[in-house]
Amino acid sequence: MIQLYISTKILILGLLVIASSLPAFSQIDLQRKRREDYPIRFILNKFSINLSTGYGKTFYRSEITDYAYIRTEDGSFIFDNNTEIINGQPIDAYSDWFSDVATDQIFLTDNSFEVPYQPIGNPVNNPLLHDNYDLIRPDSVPVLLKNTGNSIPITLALYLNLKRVRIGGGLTADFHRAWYPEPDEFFSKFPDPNGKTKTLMMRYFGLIGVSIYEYLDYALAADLRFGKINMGKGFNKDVVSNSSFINIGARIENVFSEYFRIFVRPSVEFKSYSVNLAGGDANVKNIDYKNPTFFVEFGISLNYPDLPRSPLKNDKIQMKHFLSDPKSGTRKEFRGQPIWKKQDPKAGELYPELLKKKDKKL
Amino acid sequence: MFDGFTLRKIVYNLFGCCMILLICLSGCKRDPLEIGNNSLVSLENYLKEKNITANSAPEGYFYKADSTNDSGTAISTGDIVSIYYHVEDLDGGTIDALQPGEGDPVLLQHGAGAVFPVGIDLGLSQMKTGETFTFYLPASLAYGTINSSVTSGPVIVQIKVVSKTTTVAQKTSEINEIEQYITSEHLSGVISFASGLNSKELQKGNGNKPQSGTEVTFTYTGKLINNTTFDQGTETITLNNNELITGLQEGIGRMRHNERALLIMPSALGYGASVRVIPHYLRETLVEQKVIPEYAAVVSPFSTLLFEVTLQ
Repeated sequence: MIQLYISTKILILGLLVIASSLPAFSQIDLQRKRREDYPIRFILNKFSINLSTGYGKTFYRSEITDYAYIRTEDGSFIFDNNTEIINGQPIDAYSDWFSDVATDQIFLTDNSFEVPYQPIGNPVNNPLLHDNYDLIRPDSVPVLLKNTGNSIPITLALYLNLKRVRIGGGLTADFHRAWYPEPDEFFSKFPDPNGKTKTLMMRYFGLIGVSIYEYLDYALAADLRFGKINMGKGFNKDVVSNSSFINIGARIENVFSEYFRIFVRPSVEFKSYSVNLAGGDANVKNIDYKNPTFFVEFGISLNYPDLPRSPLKNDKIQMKHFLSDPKSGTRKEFRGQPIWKKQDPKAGELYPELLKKKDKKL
Repeated sequence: MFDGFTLRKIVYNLFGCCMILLICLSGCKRDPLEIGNNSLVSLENYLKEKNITANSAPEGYFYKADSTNDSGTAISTGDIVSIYYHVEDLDGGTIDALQPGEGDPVLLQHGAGAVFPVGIDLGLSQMKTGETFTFYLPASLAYGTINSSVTSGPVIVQIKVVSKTTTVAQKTSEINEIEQYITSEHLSGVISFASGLNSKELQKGNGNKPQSGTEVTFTYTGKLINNTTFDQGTETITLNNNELITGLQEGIGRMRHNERALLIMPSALGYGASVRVIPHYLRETLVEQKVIPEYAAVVSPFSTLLFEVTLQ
């Protein structure tokens, strides 16, 4: 065992001596040699694969002018704003107009204590003063329906690095939960039993980005994603049509090595969709939603190494280096460090904690 | 796989990302913290600060007698009470006041759930006629339950009970008022009914009297005895189905189709105690917030009503 260890050390030392005695390569020569030696690695190294997750908040907003919004103990509904409420007479209403279209009939009791109708006993704070519904009608201004949704996105992206520019694409699986919109500053004594919808949204996107600035181990980049969204089973495809989306984000990256970096990416995404209540009826208006999302994602970015790891198991050389094949005599470049460490570090850069310890001892 | 330093660096950076995420999340919309406004505590503090000795009532308010009247009669549920009042917030800002010399005292019915703020109604049960009390009302018994321009904190209310009467005596008083009105307006041909309703035919009808239980349509103009119009409109109702106020239902039942008549009725056939709202200008706000009924915004307590009705 000891013999094997010693012989390996001697071999490495010998190889180093050989390598150091050879004429130095210029950077251009090195690039050319790498391309010749590892053509596939050279190409793959230009690509970065990214895996990220995080949190997103979606803000659903729709302005309705042709429908009244009503909340009863049975839930939330919208109905044609021209419909008059008459005690005991059914009203045709939509019980879902957010992710699907569902119709229902509601019966409303309009408790009126106007002149010249009878007074009530104990009039102050009498529960009879309250109708069995809370109604918001658009008058001169539309009714703004709004609410939010939560997202947990998992994104896989691949892009090609062309100097500072990044071009690529990817997909996002978005575990999304949205609450049904209700009028702005709306308060009702009736809780909404329908509440929310859950869905798995899929985004397929192309991306273009640019590395803006690099400082020490940090880098700032910006990118733009654009593509299509499949809104998932939570939204009925037959009645919901959605736009493509644009996502603008900034990436703050911590560069561990030329192959490995972690990043945090805040972004904003613009998109919209429409619920087709009409079903072909020209007199019925659709409901249009804008649903921008704010994301904060964090993840890792990997480049396929342009050099293979040294074939020598105990080769821990900090710089990229050449090894000769003893049989064929061909020389090839290898790396002695794992991908998450700098491949050509400056003195002490890989193990700064050792330097600190040394400083303390001094 | 990773050495200690690299692992630590990754952990630190991920921790940093999580912190950024948390900061972003904390910036999202959050329900505002409800700061507990314990107005009872603030009232107690106020009394202690001002060195005021006041009694505590089980309903949660405090009171002290400013002037007593041993010969006065205690206020009971259902009594109709005439009062003067002064309402202010704890900083001394006057909310509303009606003092002797500024007009007639206001009428309200005690214990009928017909007074806002409810603390005033509760406090009256401590008083006798001729007495003046100061009440320290917590927000819940004052204006704290509504959204208005008036303070949402505790208030101080001083009440002077001038007199009290019964509903029967009040009705008699209003019937006398109606007779005076008929005389002063020189109304002839007025028929008085046992209920207290008075009817004068203004235009002869040409049809039959409507049958009980049938639908009738009528137009009306409602006025107070000072000839102020408080409401008008057209309504379709089922006769004698207890939809209308008693006086109007009786009056329409006595009319013929196409007849126009003037119906004069005491408050007992109209809106009786209605709701006494202090201050008066809060009535519309209270109607909007479903605290009081719509009619209470236009008809004051114990108002004699006149309706000019045309039966179609």
